Amino acid sequence: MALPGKSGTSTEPRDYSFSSEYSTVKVYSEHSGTLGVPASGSAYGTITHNLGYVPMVIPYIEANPNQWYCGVGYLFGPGGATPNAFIHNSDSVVGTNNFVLNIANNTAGSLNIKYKCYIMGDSGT
Amino acid sequence: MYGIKVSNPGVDVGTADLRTISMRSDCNMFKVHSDGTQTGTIQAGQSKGTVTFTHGLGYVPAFWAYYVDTDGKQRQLSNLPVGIDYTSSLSTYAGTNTIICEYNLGYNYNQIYKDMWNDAVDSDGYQRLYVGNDGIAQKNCGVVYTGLNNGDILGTTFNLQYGQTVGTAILDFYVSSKGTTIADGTVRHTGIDADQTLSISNMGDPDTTAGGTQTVANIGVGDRFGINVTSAVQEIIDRAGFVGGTAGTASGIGFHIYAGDTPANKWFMDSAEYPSDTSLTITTIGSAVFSFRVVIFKDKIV
Repeated sequence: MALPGKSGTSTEPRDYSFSSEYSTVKVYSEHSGTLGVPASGSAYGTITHNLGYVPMVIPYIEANPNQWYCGVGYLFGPGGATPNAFIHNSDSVVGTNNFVLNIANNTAGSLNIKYKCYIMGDSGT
Repeated sequence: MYGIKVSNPGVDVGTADLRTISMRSDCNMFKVHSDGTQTGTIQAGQSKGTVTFTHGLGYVPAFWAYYVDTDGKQRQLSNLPVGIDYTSSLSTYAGTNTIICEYNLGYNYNQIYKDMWNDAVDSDGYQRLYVGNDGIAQKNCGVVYTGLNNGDILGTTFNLQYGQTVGTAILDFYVSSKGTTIADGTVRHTGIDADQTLSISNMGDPDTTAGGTQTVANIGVGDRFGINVTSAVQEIIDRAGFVGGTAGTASGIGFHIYAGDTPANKWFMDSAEYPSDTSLTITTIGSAVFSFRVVIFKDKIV
């Protein structure tokens, strides 16, 4: 399927919205929830996918009220305001049957952090 | 079961392995709402800048954000501020109508800040800032700041250069003690007309032409009053011999502060014992430019 204004005979992959010649990143499942995270601590959540292989995962969290951040990180202290919470990259692990999510709390009070994770049908390895 | 399933080339469409399926109509695929790049600026004296991508979807969409580096390479942003170096960082987050990207330098752009003076002298020969009328005589003082191109600079690349245009320069006088008179007084300032003023032993150094006089109202111990020394700093660094811009050199700038029309017992002092807290902030003109690219999807996070 060519994009508007593009030819269906084009050899340029960017001209297509979809082509069976190429694999396409597909959303296998979507997961939303809330994790209670203790003050200055972290909490784990487990999302089961049972794909039998390690998939791509795209996580988002509401790190500050009404502010959704993408991806994982590791707090090492560059300049700039640090959000209230973050998905810890060294403790969040994608496995063949689940995704273990670790959310860290940067504040001195407990937080309920909303998350949204996309488990893709495509291999992450 | 109804729907469309398209397998990858050479793969049986009956396969259950989603990795070899090119498209399956029961699997969502991210749909691009917009893909754009915006450029922002950080003005001299500011530490950060933001750009806002308006999507107007009315819900929080999935997105990917990238910092477009000066060499054209793009860095994907993550959950935490991403460090460019040990001080600067990038961050981004999404809301129901916008996605905001921030470039935070971690220091003020094109600005030098010295929180303490390096040397000072008053007209009685003591090492302190003391200006005003002690009831017997008018007291004047001088002050020197050095290392204006290294060390205490909050940035790592900004040095005070010969001939630079100064946006603002403020000598922020800290009052560690004061006289009893509450009526307004005035102080007058000049720069010390020399290329590299590294110390001060008396009030005999020549004055710059530039300077100014200002009223000082009744302020308390622990307060500050700002002296706008912009024109004096400009005159000093415009001197042909001004040595600046080389990291490690001790380029220095000095000022004289004279008591003006000051009533008896109206005086201010910043003593070296406190320690000295009178600061100097010099901001030159200019701005830094940065760019972010954000791909926004139609797909809803919440």
